[in-house]
Amino acid sequence: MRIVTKGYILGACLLVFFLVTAAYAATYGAKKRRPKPHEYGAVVINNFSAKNRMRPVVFPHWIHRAKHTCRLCHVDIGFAMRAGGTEITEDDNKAGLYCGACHNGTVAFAPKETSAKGETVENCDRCHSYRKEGIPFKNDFYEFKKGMPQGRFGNGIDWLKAEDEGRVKLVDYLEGVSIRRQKLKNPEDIEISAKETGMPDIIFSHRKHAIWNGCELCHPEIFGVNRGEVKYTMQDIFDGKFCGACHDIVAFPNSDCQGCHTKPVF
Amino acid sequence: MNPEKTFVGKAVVCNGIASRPREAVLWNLLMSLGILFLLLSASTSWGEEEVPWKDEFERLCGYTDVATTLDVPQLTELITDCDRLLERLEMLNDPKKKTYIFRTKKCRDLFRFILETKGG
Ligand code: HEC
Ligand code: HEC
Ligand code: HEC
Ligand code: HEC
Ligand code: HEC
Ligand code: HEC
Repeated sequence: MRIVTKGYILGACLLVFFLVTAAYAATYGAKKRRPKPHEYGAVVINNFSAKNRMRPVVFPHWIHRAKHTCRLCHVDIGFAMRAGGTEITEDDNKAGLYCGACHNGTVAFAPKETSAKGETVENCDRCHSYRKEGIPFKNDFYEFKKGMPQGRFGNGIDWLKAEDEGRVKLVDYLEGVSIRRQKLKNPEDIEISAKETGMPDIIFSHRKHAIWNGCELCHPEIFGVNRGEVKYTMQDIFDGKFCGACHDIVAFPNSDCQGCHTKPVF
Repeated sequence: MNPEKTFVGKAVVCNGIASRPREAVLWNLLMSLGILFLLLSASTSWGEEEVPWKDEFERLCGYTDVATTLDVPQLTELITDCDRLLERLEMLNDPKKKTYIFRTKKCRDLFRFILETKGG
C-alpha cells in the first residue's frame, strides 16, 4: 500500500514536470513547426537567385557537418552565421570563394563537370534546388542516418557520439584557405573554467565548443565581455541569441532541455 | 640650449643662401643628401610594409588559438597590426579581398575581446 502511494506521488510529480515543461516550451519558441530530420539545419539562400530566374539555393548542413568542422566554413571560408548574410554570388564561387572553395571538382562536385563519356554535366540543380522535385542528389539523408547513433532531436542524429565513435571524421583544414595557427602548448588552457561556474547546472564545455567552432566564432559576436551578472535568459536563447545562435538551428535544439540543464529546470 | 645662439645660427644660414653662391651649392648638396637619406629610410620602411598581405594575415590570425596566453602589450600590438592590414586589404584589387577583410576583422575583434577580459 505504502509503495503504491509513493508510486502515485512520483508519477504525479513526473506528470506535472512534463506538463510544465511542455507548457513552457509552448509559450516560448517551440511553437514553430518542428522541421523533419532531413530539413533540420537546411538554409535557404536567396539574395540573387530568384532575381536572376534561378531557384533559390538550399544549403544542407547535415552533409557538410558530417565532413567538416563548423570553424572551417564559418571562420576560414567566411560564411556568416545568418541565412543570406554572406551575400554569395556565382562569381564569388567561380573565384574559389565560399561554396567554390570546395565545389570546384576537387573537394566536391563543380557547377559544370565533364562525364566519363565526355559530355558536360550541369550540377546547378543540386544547389539551386528549392522546392524542386526529382533532383538526382548523390547523398541520401535517411541512408546516412541509418549508420549513425540516433538522437532524439534535430537531425535525429547524436552528432557528438558519431564523432566520438569515429563514424564521422571532421576535416578542419583546407589547403590554400586555412592557416596554420600557433598551437597551445597545453590544450587544457582552453578550459577557462572560471566563468563556466557562473552558469549553475548548465553543461557547457568550452573546450569542445572551441574545437568545433574556433574562438572567433563566439567571441565577441555571440558572447561579448562578461561583466559578471547574469546577462541572458532562456528567452534570449529561444530568440536565437547566445547559445541559441547555433542551438535550435544547426546544433541540437532548445527543446532538448536536458541537453544543457543537468537538473530538470523546475 | 641657448635660444640666442640658435637664432644667430639661423640668421647666418638664411643670409648665406641669399647672398653667397658657393655656400648655396654646399647648402644644396647638404639638402640633397638629407633628402636622399630620408628617401632611403622611407623606402626601407616600405620594404618592411611589403611583407605580402597574405603572409601578414597568416602571422596575425595565427595567434587566435593562443590569444589567452598573450599579455596586454602583445595583444595591443596585434590589434594595431590588424588595423594596418585592414587598410592594405581595402586597397587591394582582388576578388578574395572581402573574405580576408572578414577574417582579419574576426581576428582583431577576438584580440580585442581577450584584451578587455584582461582589463586592458
Ligand atoms: C555548390 C553550389 C552551387 C552550384 C553547383 C551552382 N550554384 Fe549558382 N549560386 C550558388 C549560391 C550559394 C548562390 C547565391 C544564391 C543567392 O543568394 O540567391 C548562387 C547564385 C547564382 C546566381 C545568382 C546571380 C549571381 O550571379 O550570383 C545565378 C544566376 C547562378 N547561381 C547560376 C548558376 C548556374 C547556371 C549553375 C550551374 C552551371 C550554378 N549556379 C551552380 C551556389 C551554387
Ligand atoms: C561546408 C560549410 C559549412 C559548415 C561545415 C557549417 N556551416 Fe553553418 N552555414 C554555412 C552556410 C553556407 C550558411 C549560410 C550562410 C549564408 O546564407 O550567407 C550557414 C549558416 C549557418 C547558421 C545560420 C542559419 C540560419 O538559418 O540563419 C548557423 C547557426 C550555422 N551555420 C551554424 C553552424 C554550425 C554550428 C556548424 C557546425 C556544426 C556549421 N554551421 C557548419 C556553411 C557551413
Ligand atoms: C568545406 C567544403 C565545402 C563547402 C565550402 C561547401 N560544400 Fe557542399 N559539399 C561538400 C562535400 C565534400 C560534399 C559531398 C560531395 C559528394 O558526396 O560528392 C558536398 C555536398 C553538397 C550538396 C549535396 C549534393 C548531393 O547531390 O548530395 C549540396 C546541395 C551542397 N554541397 C551545396 C553547397 C552549397 C550551396 C555551398 C555554399 C553555400 C556548399 N555546398 C559549400 C563540401 C563543401
Ligand atoms: C560556443 C561558443 C564559445 C566558443 C567557441 C568559445 N567560447 Fe569562450 N566563452 C563562451 C561562453 C558562453 C563564456 C562564458 C561567458 C558568459 O557567461 O557570458 C565564455 C568565456 C570566455 C572567457 C572569459 C570571459 C570573461 O568575461 O571573463 C574567455 C577569456 C574566453 N571565453 C576565451 C575563449 C577562447 C580563447 C576560445 C577559443 C579557444 C573560446 N573562448 C571559445 C563561449 C565560447
Ligand atoms: C543550448 C542550451 C540550453 C537548452 C537546450 C535549454 N537551456 Fe535553459 N538555459 C540555458 C542557459 C545558458 C541559461 C542561462 C543560465 C544563466 O545565465 O545562469 C538557461 C536558463 C534557463 C532558465 C532560468 C530562467 C531563465 O528564463 O533564464 C530556465 C527556467 C530554463 N533555462 C528552462 C529551459 C527549458 C524549459 C528548456 C527546454 C525547453 C531549456 N531551458 C533548454 C541553456 C539552455
Ligand atoms: C557557435 C555555435 C554554438 C554556440 C554559440 C553554442 N553551442 Fe553548444 N554545441 C554546438 C555544436 C555544434 C555542438 C555539437 C552537438 C550538436 O551539434 O548537436 C554543441 C554541443 C553542446 C552540448 C553537448 C556537449 C557535450 O559534451 O555533451 C552542450 C551541453 C552545449 N552545446 C551547450 C551549449 C550552451 C549552454 C551554450 C551557450 C552558453 C552553447 N552550447 C552555445 C554549437 C554551439
